[in-house]
Amino acid sequence: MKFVASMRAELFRLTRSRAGRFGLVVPALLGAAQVLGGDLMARLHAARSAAQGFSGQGGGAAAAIETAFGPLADGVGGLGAMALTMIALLTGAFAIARERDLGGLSLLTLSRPRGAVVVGKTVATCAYVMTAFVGLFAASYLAAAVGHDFSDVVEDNYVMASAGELWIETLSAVSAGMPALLCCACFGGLVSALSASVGAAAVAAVVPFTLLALFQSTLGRVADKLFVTYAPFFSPRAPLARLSEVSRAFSNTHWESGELLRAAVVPTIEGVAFVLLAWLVTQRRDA
Amino acid sequence: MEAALELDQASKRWRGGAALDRVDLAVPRGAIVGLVGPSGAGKTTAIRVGLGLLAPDSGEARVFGDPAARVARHSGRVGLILDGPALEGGLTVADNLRLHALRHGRALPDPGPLLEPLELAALTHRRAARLSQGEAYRVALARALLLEPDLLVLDEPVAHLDPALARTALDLVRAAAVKRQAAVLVSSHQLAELDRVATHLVLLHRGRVLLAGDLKTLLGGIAPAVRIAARPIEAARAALARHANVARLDLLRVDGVELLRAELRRRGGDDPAAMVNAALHQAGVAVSLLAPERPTIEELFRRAITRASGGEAEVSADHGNAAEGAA
Repeated sequence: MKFVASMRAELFRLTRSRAGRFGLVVPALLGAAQVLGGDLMARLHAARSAAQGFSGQGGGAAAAIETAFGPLADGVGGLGAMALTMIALLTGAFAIARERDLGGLSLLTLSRPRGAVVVGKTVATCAYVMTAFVGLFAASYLAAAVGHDFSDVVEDNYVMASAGELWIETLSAVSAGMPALLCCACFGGLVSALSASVGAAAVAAVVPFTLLALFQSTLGRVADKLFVTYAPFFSPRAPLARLSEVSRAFSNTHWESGELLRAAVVPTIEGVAFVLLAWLVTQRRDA
Repeated sequence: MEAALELDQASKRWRGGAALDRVDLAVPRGAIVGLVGPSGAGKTTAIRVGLGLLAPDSGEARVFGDPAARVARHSGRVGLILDGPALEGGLTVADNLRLHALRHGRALPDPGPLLEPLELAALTHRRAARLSQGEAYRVALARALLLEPDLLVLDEPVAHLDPALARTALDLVRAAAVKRQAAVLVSSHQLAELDRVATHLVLLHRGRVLLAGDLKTLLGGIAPAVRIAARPIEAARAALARHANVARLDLLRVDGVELLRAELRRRGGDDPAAMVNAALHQAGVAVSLLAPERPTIEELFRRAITRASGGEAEVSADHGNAAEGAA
């Protein structure tokens, strides 16, 4: 396991620097802010509706009571997830390119075989992204729990979805959505191995990714085969983004057949391919 | 003894021409090899090829007997400064050292014995981004020495240090070579500093080895010379120009003072200074300074490069003197 030392060193580097810690905290803060902000807006809206009801009709309709699953999904799949996608992409893109910029690549090459360095850095970046996601999930959970209960979704005394079912939906979406986030880190890693500098790596990772994310709906069936489609970044088809509807048990929303499986498998295959390509490139390039 | 680092007829070409041309280089255990040459001579390329960071177009490079491309097999046995200090700006000095140990899968040894003499003990909790260039290079040297490597490769390690710290830094390097029999390769333009510590010398020029070998032997090949301040200087010049033992005579101007520099032919066990003194005394010249010159790497460097450039080039190796006239 020659990559373990590289992985440990990279994790140390990511978690000891201010920028690295910032990257861990920002998605969680954004997720919590989105949940609390959304909740606040909903309460203001309800209060205004109630006030209008008092003045106009002499009585108001009771505000709809939402379970915590909807806000949790908003936090997990909203701004925090978008930020985390970008963080995964850039952390991957900086992994090797910044060593090249700093002059540290020669030091790394003396410590472990190049393949082990690439794998170690990629695994560490993925672990970092997963840690940030756990923080995002925890912060969203706590924020959602502030004003809501994780209870059944009930409409007209009819249980649309039980809490157990919604937990399963939520965890399924998280499991299916995670590979796309990790694949972003792997894609960044490949770009990093190809790039001569940090700036070039950042541009080469972010620009094509953002363009593909923005225009993935125009790609037709090709989009099904791109990891970008499943990343929570301007993509309505990302499981983490779709969870917001599913967890509210809207009658017309449900996972399509094979949707979650595809969302998990496509980025996994592409992520492994990106790591292999980065490994090959690093073998051939001079350090 | 097996060399820790070896280049065997290694060549490397860039688009502009040959960066290395059939270079042989060996760094034995316990030796401090000074790698010198003008800018663009191929020193850094030689180091890169030697450590497997660049593949040679032909020839071989070996580290501890293994092909250099497999240098990672010897993780932790090579200490390196190349391409600048290469510190993580976002990490503290202590964390940079810890990161280095982690990369090699080692526990962090006590860095105190390195940090104290390099005057870094007070900076351990400072982020590397806030260090001056000299401080950063000292941390890089501490990092290179941290895991007690068997091979130290240092590219311009003291270029950004003040004279006192440069001396301390090279003393640490010499201690590694003497006490632990580490092999050391130091590439530097600080020839006076190298003079103090190097045991061997390799001089590169336009990708070729101009001069290589044991430093004492190389310096022994330089004819003895003395510097003379005398009055009247013209009479001294005339007396020495006629002398059979004077091979070359130069008039130097140092800080506005005219000096003669006499290069002497070897004659058995004669004391060159005594011989010159006697000749000037006979000519009735008053001598106020008579200083035998210690042969230096700088002199070796100047002579070799001048010879390689067809005798036309004057090498800018910090002479500070203008030479005029010759016997």
